[in-house]
Amino acid sequence: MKIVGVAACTVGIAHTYIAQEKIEAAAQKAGFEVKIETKRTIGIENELTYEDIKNADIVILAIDVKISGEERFIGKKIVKVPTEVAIKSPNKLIAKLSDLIKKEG
Amino acid sequence: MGDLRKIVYSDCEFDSREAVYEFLSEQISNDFNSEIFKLFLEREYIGNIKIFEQTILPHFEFEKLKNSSIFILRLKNSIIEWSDRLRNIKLLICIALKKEESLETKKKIVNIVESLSNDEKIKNLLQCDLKEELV
Repeated sequence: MKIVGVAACTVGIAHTYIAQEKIEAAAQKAGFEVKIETKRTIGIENELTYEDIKNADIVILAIDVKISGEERFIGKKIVKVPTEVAIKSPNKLIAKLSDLIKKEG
Repeated sequence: MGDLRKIVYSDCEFDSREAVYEFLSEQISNDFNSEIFKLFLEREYIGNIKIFEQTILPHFEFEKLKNSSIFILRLKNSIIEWSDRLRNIKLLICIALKKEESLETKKKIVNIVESLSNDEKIKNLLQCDLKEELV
C-alpha cells in the first residue's frame, strides 16, 4: 500500500520536517510505501508527481496552514491532521490510515 | 555561518516556563524582550511545540530582529509543570527567525533542525556535553 502526503507548519522551518520524518518512519515500519512532500520556508521539497498521487491508496495532509495544490488530491481518500498529531503519535496515525484503506477498499 | 547566531546554554537552573522564556527573550533581543516573550507564549497557544520526550521546539518569525538565532537550552532539572499542556520539559531548541531572512540562512537553519530531529540525537542532547556535541 502506498501513502502520499504533505507536511506544512506555520513558519515552515521546523515542525514540517519533523512531521515528515515521523510519518515516513512510522509508515516504513508498518510496511507501507510512503512519500511526503514538504512545503517550507525554503520552498517545496520532495514534490509529489502525478504518478505518485495516482498510485497512492490514501493521502495524509499534516498541515497547520492552508496549502496550495490541494486540488491535486481530488478523488483520493484524504486524512487531514495538524502537524502535532504526526509528531506526537505517528504510529497511531499510520494505523488509522491503514484501517481506512482496508475499510473503504 | 553568516549572521545566524547559534548559542548553547547547558544545565540552566530555572524553575518555570516564564523564567526560561524571560531569559531567552533577553538573549534574543534586549530591546524587544517583552514582545518576544509574548511570541513564545503565543506559539504555545497555536499548537503543541513538543517534538520528543522532554523536548520542545518553540520558534517564531519576528520583524524587529536584526539576526536570526538558534538557541539550545538544557535545564539542570526538568520543569515538571511547564504549562497546562506540557510536563517534564528539559531541553529547548529555540529558533528566532528574522522576517525576510535570506534563503541561504533559512537553509542553514533547516539543516541544523534536520540534524537535531531524531530520537537518538535528542537522547544524546539530553545527556551529552552540549557544546561539544552541537552543530
